[in-house]
Amino acid sequence: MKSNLSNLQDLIAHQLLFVTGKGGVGKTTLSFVLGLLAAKQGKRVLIVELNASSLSVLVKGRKIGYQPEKILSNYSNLHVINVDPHSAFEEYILMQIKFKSLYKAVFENKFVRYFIDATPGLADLMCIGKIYSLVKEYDLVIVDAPATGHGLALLTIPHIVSSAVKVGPLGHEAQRIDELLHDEQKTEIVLVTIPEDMPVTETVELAEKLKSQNLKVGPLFLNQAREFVLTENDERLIQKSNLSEDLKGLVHLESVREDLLKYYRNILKDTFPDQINMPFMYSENFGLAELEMIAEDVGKQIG
Amino acid sequence: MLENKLDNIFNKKIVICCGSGGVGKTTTSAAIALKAAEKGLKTIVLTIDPAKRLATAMGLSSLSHAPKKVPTANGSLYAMMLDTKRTFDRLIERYAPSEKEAQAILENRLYKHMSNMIAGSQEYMAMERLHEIYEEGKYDFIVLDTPPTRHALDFLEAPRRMVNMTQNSLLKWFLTPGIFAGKVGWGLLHKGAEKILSVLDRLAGLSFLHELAEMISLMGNMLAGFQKRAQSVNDLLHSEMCGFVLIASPSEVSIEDARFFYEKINEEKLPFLGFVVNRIHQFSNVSLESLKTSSLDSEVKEKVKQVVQHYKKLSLRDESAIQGLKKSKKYFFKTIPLLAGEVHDLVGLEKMGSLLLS
Repeated sequence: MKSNLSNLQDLIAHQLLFVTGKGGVGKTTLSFVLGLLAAKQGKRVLIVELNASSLSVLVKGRKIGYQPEKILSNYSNLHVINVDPHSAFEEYILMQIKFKSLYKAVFENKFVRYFIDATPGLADLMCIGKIYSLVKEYDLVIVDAPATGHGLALLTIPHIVSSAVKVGPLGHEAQRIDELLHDEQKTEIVLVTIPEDMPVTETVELAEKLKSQNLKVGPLFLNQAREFVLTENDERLIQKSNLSEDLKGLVHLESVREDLLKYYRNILKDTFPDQINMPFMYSENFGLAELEMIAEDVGKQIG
Repeated sequence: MLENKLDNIFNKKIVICCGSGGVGKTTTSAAIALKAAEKGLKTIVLTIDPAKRLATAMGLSSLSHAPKKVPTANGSLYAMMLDTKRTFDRLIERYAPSEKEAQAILENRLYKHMSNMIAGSQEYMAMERLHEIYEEGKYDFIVLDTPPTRHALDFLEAPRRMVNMTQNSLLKWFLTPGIFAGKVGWGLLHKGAEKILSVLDRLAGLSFLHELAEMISLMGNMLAGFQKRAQSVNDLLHSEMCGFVLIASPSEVSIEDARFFYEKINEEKLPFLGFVVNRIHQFSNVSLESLKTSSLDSEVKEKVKQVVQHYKKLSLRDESAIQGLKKSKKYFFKTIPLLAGEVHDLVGLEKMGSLLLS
């Protein structure tokens, strides 16, 4: 199925892509797939992880840190960073006050730590601030964003802060970040889901919330969208045949699954006329070879 | 293998279903509740965000937050959707010492922006509602479907986190609104606090700090009531009246989450009932023998082989995912095979309930 609305060039022409969706639907996979596709086109790409544990297989147990690094030897222009709020906070404050000793005295104080950890939105603000500063250094930054609700919080916190804090650098920076997030030329949010009830419902709701915040929602990636080989006629013949009940049961299961896929595609169609399939994978822990396979398949659809 | 405590589930009064998102928690909760009702227990299931078709089957709409009778053939079953949108407002309304103070908090600009983001508040409110319904004493059996959480018993940690934020004496002291009224207070501050203030002032301005201080000190005033209630919710959760069920799907990530959850439950000494692993493909032993003698044409046969191949691969994947649980004899777990289609009606729930509690 060739998609007519979106193509890879348009997608990777942005400077900042956020990949989000319900937990466990393939956000990290899609972030890397898009990263590989953009890197192959010669772009200098940075993938931002906010929870680096999800890539453990790719980096073979190594921890990705707060400094961008290359993790795939055959992709020299693909970089990965793990942005954690504490490091981002320290970097930001040091930028403001310039004295490490002062930072230590003030912000490593136990009580201040409590406060920093408990202040809602502060962690998100620090992370998105770091992402903002990285956009200038790469052709394309792809954020493997948190799941639905938290992902939305990450994208809306700059607006909240800039409208609450009118003076001082914090308010001004929040405003600049918010402007970048709302710049349709530069920023797009890419959603991924699987053909199941809750993920589909949440994805549609999330897209509506994002649009109501005037954020630009791009194409939808439908993960685990399998190809079904049996036709209705095949199934009729099989159910009438002398195959074992086990086999007939499986064939029935298969047709129920196919109906479900059609059903969910239909629900998604109103919100996302533009759907891109990600092939079905049998293991959730896969390496570069599998990612490249998915990238090739996706590339064919939108290339 | 551990004793199957899931069979004793009806000796409990409250069952709490936990697990990460997308593992069939809501469905499992509803299936347990349906079984309890069949046993003649007047039952209610408190659910967070059911899938649309399941909600419809249970007679729930997203607009209503009152208990609704579920149209079951046997027994008396009620379902209720927990309102998690206004969770924090409810806390404020309940625990603020006066209506005036409640209003002051609710109208604080920062509060308005941030109340929905306080981590764990949703989870905690679910526990609050549970306590409330238990106290009312209208039901014999209560099943709670918790919000999806990863890696933490957020509902236990949320009150602690809030107390940490608001009760902290130093913070309260130097953020008292009076300080900003004049310069009198400044001299009293020790050096550290002064530095913190000057840094925060440069970053965000004093008016922002003032609002922040107001919010924190107002919230500090409602702590006493809040803490007392949090303690009794905590006591209830730790009593033998309660039982926790951990739900997973047969993927490595989900099972890892469930095991982590189990360790936490153990640490907290919460009463544990067992694991449920949902939607397992069990097709490793399906035989292709009957295909050989079949009169179907070879193209269709080839397709059937492909389908079987697909489900066998999935069966292998699921088996290897649950190996970890199988190996450690520490955990009791119950597996539920994949049902054709999705469970979205009472017939499906009944079937699942029977598999779960046979």
